[in-house]
Amino acid sequence: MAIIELEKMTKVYGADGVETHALRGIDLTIGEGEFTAIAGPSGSGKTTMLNIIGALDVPTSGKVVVVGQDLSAMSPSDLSILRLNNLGFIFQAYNLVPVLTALENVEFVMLLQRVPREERRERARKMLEEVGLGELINKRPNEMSGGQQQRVAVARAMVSGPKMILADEPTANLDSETGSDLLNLMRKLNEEKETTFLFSTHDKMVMDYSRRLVRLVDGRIISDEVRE
Amino acid sequence: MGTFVRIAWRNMWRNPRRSGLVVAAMAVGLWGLIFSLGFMDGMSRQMIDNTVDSHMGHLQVHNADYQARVKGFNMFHYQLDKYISDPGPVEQAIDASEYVVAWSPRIITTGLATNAQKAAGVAIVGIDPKRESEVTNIARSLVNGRYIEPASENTIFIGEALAKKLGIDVGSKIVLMAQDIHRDKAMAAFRVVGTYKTVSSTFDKSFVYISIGAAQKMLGMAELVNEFVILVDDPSKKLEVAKASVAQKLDKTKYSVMTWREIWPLLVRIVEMSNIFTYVFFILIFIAMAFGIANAVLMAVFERIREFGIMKALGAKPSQVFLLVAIESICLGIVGVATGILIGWATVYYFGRQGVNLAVFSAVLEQMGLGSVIYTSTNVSFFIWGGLIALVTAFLSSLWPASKAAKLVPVDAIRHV
Repeated sequence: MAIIELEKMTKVYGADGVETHALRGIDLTIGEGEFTAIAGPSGSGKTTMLNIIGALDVPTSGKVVVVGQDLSAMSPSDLSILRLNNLGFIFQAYNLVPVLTALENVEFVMLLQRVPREERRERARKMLEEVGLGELINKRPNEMSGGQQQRVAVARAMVSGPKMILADEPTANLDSETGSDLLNLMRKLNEEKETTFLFSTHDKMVMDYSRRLVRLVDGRIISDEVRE
Repeated sequence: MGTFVRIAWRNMWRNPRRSGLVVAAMAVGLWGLIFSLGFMDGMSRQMIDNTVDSHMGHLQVHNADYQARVKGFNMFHYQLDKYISDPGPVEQAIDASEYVVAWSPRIITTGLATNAQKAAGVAIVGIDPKRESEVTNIARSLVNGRYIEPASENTIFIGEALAKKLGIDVGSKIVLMAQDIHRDKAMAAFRVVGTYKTVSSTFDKSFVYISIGAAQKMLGMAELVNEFVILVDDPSKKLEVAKASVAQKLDKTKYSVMTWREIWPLLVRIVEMSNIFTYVFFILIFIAMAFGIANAVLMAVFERIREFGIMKALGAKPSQVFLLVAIESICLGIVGVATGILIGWATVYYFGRQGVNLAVFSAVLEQMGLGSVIYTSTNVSFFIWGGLIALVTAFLSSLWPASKAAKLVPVDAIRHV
């Protein structure tokens, strides 16, 4: 079953009369449980695409259906509820709340979901153990390495049990070893929990780890290959 | 909510210098407010207390035709011919009131005090020495010699300032001259048995005390009096009730009962006016405070655009981001208020004990019936109101930055560096 359906999706940024076509008609379907990378050089539109799928941005035209809901028909607050309950996000870097500990960062999404305190705490602790940070739950982001921070981000994205995780260049600020550890972790979670993962990347390693690779150039899909 | 408060609290300490500055600004503002309120209130109270304690009492009873209202500073004028012809029922009415703590009858008129060399215009007060000592602080203000006794018919108690002015001392003889009740010239010699000193040298130069019997004899008034002074219990709350309880037992056509506020409206006006100045001052302090807080919180928001963007991307609602910023501002407010109240309390407590010495302005202060040392008053309501207003200011000044944060578009905010 499809978790993402994009039809003739375009995105045009216009400023001072100069139009920039970030996406020029994207047709793409992604099924549940996929581990897909959208690759392309910078400026190819991959982040824009991820933002639109993540209900953070709206397309100029075309149809976007995510987890069975047509985003074009939804209000900003409905979109935030959709994000909260169905999607997990991992950003490039510096994406944790700096004043909160690892545990509190992981709890944050559940706090917004109004999960009771005890349950929140327990689930966050378990999730951090799962990503291998059981020892660091009371550390703040500035006391952790980049790889550890990104693991906390993965734990935060995963903990509320979203249907899909969107990761925007998750390895961009990590060295290759840490990056591959992180990818192994995400693949493990993908296999165990059947959570859909969608990456945007220009990192060769991420492409190698992905099971499906969609290449984007100048806002168009130029190739779409399934790899095993 | 608890986590929001925790986030806000920790965010506050992310930039300790900026937060510290805001806290300091709030604390100083609140301190200034508490101190000036304490000072103004202390001054008003002292002005009232001095006047009430030394002479006026809380209530006075006169003949209905007597013009008791004071027009300026210490500009008393007395009408001997508007006397109370039958003091008995008045005494009974006063005694019957449960609110009355003490009372004293008086004969009071203006006259001249002279010795061989000099003369001075004075207010001659005939008193029941024992009762007067329960109502006013004149007996307690003794500096030299002794207070007068009831039976004595030729002793006089005068202000130290008057003694100096006339160049006399305890033991000296002076002659009082005045018009008697029939507007004839009355005159009697007295020996100074003691001198007193109140906070007001103007008062000390004006008021001389003789026994009521001596006054009645000198002025031809037999058993008559022209004034009753009354002290009531808890005057700040029960002044009007006490007045009514005395007045209801008296014939309105013959007697008038007045509170000190009615007798000396100017004093009330001065207090009111000083309050208005204080309020204007507060408004200015709080406006400055509001801009300071708004600026600091706005800076804090601009620094964290990316962070708010991520929170919103994760699913935080605009209202939750708004709340976070507002709580942060209130946290700042609470620390500022706590600090301000602490130093404010310490200051008014200290100056409430030690007093603020304004000897330089003593001439002006004495005119106003004040001593040269002002004791600040520590009124709990100042702390509560000051604190509440400061907190509300902190909250209001966060509204704009908070709504800016709430309106951030996540996709732009995340890209913000």
